Amino acid sequence: MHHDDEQSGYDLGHPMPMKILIGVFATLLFFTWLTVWVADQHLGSIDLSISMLIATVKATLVAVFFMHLIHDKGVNRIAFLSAVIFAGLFLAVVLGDGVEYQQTIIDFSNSKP
Amino acid sequence: MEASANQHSEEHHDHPEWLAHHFETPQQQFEAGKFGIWIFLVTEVLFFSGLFCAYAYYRTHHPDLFQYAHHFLSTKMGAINTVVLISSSFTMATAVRMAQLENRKWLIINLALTFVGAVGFLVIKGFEYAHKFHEGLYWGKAYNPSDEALETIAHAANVPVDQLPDMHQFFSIYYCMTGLHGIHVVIGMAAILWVLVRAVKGEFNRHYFTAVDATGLYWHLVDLIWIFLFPLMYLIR
Repeated sequence: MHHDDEQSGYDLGHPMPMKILIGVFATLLFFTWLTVWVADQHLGSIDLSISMLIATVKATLVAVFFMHLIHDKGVNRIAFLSAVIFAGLFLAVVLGDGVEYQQTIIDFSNSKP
Repeated sequence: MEASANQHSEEHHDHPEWLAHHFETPQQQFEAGKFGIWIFLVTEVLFFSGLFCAYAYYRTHHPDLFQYAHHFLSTKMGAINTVVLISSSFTMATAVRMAQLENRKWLIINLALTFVGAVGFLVIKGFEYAHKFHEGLYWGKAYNPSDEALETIAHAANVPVDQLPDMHQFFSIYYCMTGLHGIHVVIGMAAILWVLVRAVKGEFNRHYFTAVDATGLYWHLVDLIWIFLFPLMYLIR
């Protein structure tokens, strides 16, 4: 430890241990293989949910370890998390609302002379 | 390292070259920079979310289109590119560690490897695009698939050729999403090259590596977007 590292104003975060970086890398490769393997099992309608779940786990690993969010300041974590939550909200509204009025549209089209 | 420590005490009233005069401490400078890049990443997530919404909307309304069109994409190419991008994310994360440890040699090696990964990704993507252009698989009104391409898909999907829908909307979304992602890869390459040159010049130390860290965060976001694009485009079954 260098002397000036102990002074206040010089704490710039800690290097991520090599073991963790390699472990995360190997896990990401495993999940990449897994998501391709699952897709080829032809599980029907749930395969999209499974692949999105795997992608979310991979993305979380990248954000927490590669992007150092585990050691980052709370304000940065909140900023990024809020972006993800809003992206999820937009998607939920689109998915929830998208086909909601389809029958109404069909009925309307049919009622026109 | 000795030099930078001495420099600090000697230039306490002045300030080291790498510490902007409007910051009191390296930590303050670092945290301000980090907060800035995170806010930028927030805007990136939000504008990509618009494209993901378009994808979700079209896939729920026209699932058949996606079911057929995915046969045009090669899972192998997509999977290889995923591995390439994840590997370059790993070398980037390692580069940040090396910058923090003041290990200039391995910082340079890891940044160079990250750059090579980015080039590899674009080369593979280029082959994919070239193949699609050759088969007339363009976006919107330009969509004009060759008979051969349609027959191959009809065979793969096990339906008669004349029952295949017009799949131009799939390709509009495909090119918008992968194209915008590709532009991000190019911008990321420029940023990596910039920090690589600065690393060679020896401009970073354990109190000043914000540029490496910020470039890394941006590069990991490019990886994050691809982690979702890969199953959404290449793993439709």
